[in-house]
Amino acid sequence: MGKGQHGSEIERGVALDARDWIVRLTAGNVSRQDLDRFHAWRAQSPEHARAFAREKEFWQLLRHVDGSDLDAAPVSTPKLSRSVSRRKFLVGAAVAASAVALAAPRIMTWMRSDFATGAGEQATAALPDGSTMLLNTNSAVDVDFQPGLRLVNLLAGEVEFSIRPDAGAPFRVAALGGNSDANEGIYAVRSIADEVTVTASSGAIAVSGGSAANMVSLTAGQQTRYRSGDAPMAATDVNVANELAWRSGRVVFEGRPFGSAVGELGRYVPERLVIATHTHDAGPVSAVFLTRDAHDAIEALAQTQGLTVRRVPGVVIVIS
Amino acid sequence: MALTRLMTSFATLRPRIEALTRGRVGCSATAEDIVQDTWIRLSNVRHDDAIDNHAAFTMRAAKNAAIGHFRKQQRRNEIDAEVNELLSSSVDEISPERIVMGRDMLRAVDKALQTMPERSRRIFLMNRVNSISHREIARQLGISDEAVYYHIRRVVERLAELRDSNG
Repeated sequence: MGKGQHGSEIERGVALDARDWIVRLTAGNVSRQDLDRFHAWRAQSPEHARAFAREKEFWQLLRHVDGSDLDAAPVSTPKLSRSVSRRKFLVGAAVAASAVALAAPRIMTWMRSDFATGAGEQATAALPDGSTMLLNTNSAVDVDFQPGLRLVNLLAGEVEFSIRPDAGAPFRVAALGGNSDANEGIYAVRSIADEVTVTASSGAIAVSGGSAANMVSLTAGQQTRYRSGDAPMAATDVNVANELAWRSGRVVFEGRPFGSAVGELGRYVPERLVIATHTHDAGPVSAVFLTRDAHDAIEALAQTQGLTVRRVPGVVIVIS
Repeated sequence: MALTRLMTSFATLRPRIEALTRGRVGCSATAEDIVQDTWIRLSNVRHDDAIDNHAAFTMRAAKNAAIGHFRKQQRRNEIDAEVNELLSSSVDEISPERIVMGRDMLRAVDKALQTMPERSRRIFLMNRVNSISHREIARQLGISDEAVYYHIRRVVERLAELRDSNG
C-alpha cells in the first residue's frame, strides 16, 4: 500500500479509482456527465481528494518521461523480442503481483503475456517459425518455444493459429491444463469462463486434457471442449464459419440463450456486465452483429427482451 | 422519405448555405458538418405545407445550425478549461525536495517504461508526451477508444506500483 507524500494512507480501491479518473480526464473530449461524475466521486471524502491530488501530481511528472524514440518504430503488430525484458520485469513485479491479481486480473494477464489485445481489439502476430496467430478481443498469449516443441500458452481469450508444417517440432497450445497439438493446420483455441473450446479449420488436431491418455482427435470442421483438469468431450461437427465469425468481425447467434449471447458480446466491450437475475427467463436469440458495434448490439438484444441497458462508460453496463 | 418541398428548397440553396456557413465558422470541414446538420433538421420537419416561405425557413434552419454549433463549441471549451484547471498543479506544492524526488522517480519510470509491452508504451507516450487524444490515437492505430484507454491505464498502473514500492 503506497504511502504518499500527502502523509496519510490511501486505500487501494480509492487509488485505483483516482488513476482511472486521471486517464479518463486526459482522454480528450470529456463529457459534462463524466465531469459531474468525477466531482461527485472526489467530493465523497478528503481521502478521495487526496488520492486524486497524488495521482495528478504523478501524472504531471510523467509528462517528462523519455519519449524521444516515439517516432522511431511504427506501432504495428506486437513484437516477439519483448519476451526477454518481460522476464526481467516479472522479477521486479513479483511482490506487487499478489495484491494486483485480486483487484485487476485483466491487467495482470496483460502484463504476463507476450501478445495481448484489449477489449474490442484484434491483432495478428507472427511467430518465429513462420506460424501466425490471430488474436480476438481481450486475449493474451505467452510464447515458449523450445527445441522439439513449439509451445504457446493461451492465458485468456481466443486465438486462431495457422501452423507452419514442422514434423520435428509439434505445435502445442496449452490452456487450462490441457493441450491442443498439431504438426500443421489451422485451429482456434478459446479459453473463456473456465472452459476451453478447440475448433479445427484444417489439419489434424490432438486435444488432451486431465491426462495425456484422454485424447480426442479433430479434423476440419470439428470441435471439442474441456474444463480445467477434465477430459475433452467427443468431437462434434460444427459450422466453422459461424463458430469463428469473429475472424471477420462478426458474432453469430443461432437460438442462443439471452444471457449467454450478451455475455459473448460483453467480451468486446471494456465495461463489466451486470445482468439482473429476472432476465434469466429471457428467450433465445438469433442474430448477427458486428463486434465493433458491441455496445449497440447489447442494447439491441436487451430491447428485444424488453430490458433496459444503463451504461457507465468504461466501468459497468447494467441490464435489467 | 419523399423529397419534400423543403428538401427541394435546400437542394437549390445548398451552395449559398455552404458559402454563408463557411463565412460564419471559418472552417470548411466544420461548415460541411453544419450543412449536414441543417439537412437533418429539415428532413425531420413533417408538415411543410404549413410553411409559407420555404427559402426563408431553410436559411433560418442553416443559421440555427451554425448557432447550435457555436454553443456546442463554447460548452466544449468550458469543459476543456475546467479539466485543465483540475489537472494543473498548485504552485505552492513544489519544493526543492519534491523536484529532486521527481528526477529520481523519473529515471526509475523511464527504465520501467522500457520493459512495458511496446504497443502500450507507445500509446501511453502518444497521449502523455504528445498530448494526442484517445480518439485520435484510436483512429491512427485502427483500434477502439476503449483499447487506447486500457493500454494507457495499464502503463499508469504499472508505474504507480513502481512509485508506491519505492515508498
